[in-house]
Amino acid sequence: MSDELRAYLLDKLTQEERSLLEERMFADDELFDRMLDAENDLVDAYAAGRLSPGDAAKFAAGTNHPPGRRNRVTVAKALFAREQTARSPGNRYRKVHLQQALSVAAALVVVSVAAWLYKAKTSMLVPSARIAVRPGASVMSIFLTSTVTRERNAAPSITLPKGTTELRVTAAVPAVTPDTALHAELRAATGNLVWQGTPQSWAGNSPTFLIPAAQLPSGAAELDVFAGAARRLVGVYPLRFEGL
Amino acid sequence: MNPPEHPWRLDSQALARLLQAFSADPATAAELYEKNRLRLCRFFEWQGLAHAEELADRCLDVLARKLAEDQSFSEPGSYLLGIARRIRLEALDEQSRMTVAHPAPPIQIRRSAEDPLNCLERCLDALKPSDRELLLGYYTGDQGRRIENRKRLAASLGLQMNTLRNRALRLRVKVEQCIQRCLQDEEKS
Repeated sequence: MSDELRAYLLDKLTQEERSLLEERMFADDELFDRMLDAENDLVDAYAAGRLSPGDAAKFAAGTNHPPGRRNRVTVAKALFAREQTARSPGNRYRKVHLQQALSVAAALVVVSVAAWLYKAKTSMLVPSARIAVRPGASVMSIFLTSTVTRERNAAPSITLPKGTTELRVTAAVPAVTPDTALHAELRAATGNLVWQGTPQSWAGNSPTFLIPAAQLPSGAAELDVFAGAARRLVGVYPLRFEGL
Repeated sequence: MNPPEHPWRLDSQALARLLQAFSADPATAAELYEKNRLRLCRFFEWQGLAHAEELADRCLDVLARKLAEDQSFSEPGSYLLGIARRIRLEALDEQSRMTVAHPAPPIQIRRSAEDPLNCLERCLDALKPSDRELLLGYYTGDQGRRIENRKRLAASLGLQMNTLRNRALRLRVKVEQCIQRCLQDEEKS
């Protein structure tokens, strides 16, 4: 993959470099095809876990929004799973975990498609989720974004795999940076506070909260994120937990 | 009192004029329209913008409107980039201002574990064997191995790298669309 194209796709070029490349991309069919090719290679590398942590975080930030790219990630994961299975036909354990990851990614593609269809009818915005299960780990990761339009009164339904001990929630909170003092609260449908905490880490400008699975409520819940001492509400993420 | 101003909408006449701006030949014009739309979609996607297709259509609408107002462009593609950059700024600004305010009950998104792989196999089976081999050969291996695989594949098929890349890209888009349809169908059933 050309370094320049990869840098563009990972948002690493300067404004001037970006601008020049875009002009060439709009004028040159072959360059545009090479961009598409570079993107496929990047998506495949991400799906196979071959990107550096920094690049993976950059890439993941870019996949929080566009349904098209999320679909491409699902396909890339399927291709990778197929390739791995073909190489190790007896490795059922790995296959099962890859399939777990794929199934949730696929579900989100469906959600985003539904969102896309619904968008024509409303401008209301509610959160969406991209969910991935780390193979072999007891931590389930959830990526929440507040920028995808979805069906009214809809929230992602999350089923924790057996043995999950912690839920790692990364949220795309608008207009915050790692310098912003954040505080999150998870409330059950009854309004009871079941967990509260501060970010454990940041993925770019998205805070990550680590919630013990034992504290998760069953059924509908809501994660609220507040900023600063004044507790300004900056994100509301409805969720639903199943199988607890 | 002035009559209410109606938003401009793309009608068949404006669309015909837009296609004509791409090419006098209808088939070439349609191909160029699709090509430019794809380029715009990816342009917005690569900025992390959620509604890339809608934004791409908005760009094409702006161009169509300008043409309907009797403006002419020697290079519609370059003009589209200018429109796209302006709309990108607006969309990024809009996206950064989005907040969430509505709690919500659930939507079921659980699926059986094997859906994507099953769909992939089904979609690969729908390809001609030679296309399937080309696609899998092209997208197999890590980065270093891919380059070697592709050189070998191009040599074995007697194709230039550009031609091989184009074929692989088209096949991948076809499979991606097929998998998306497959997942939606399974979700409905």
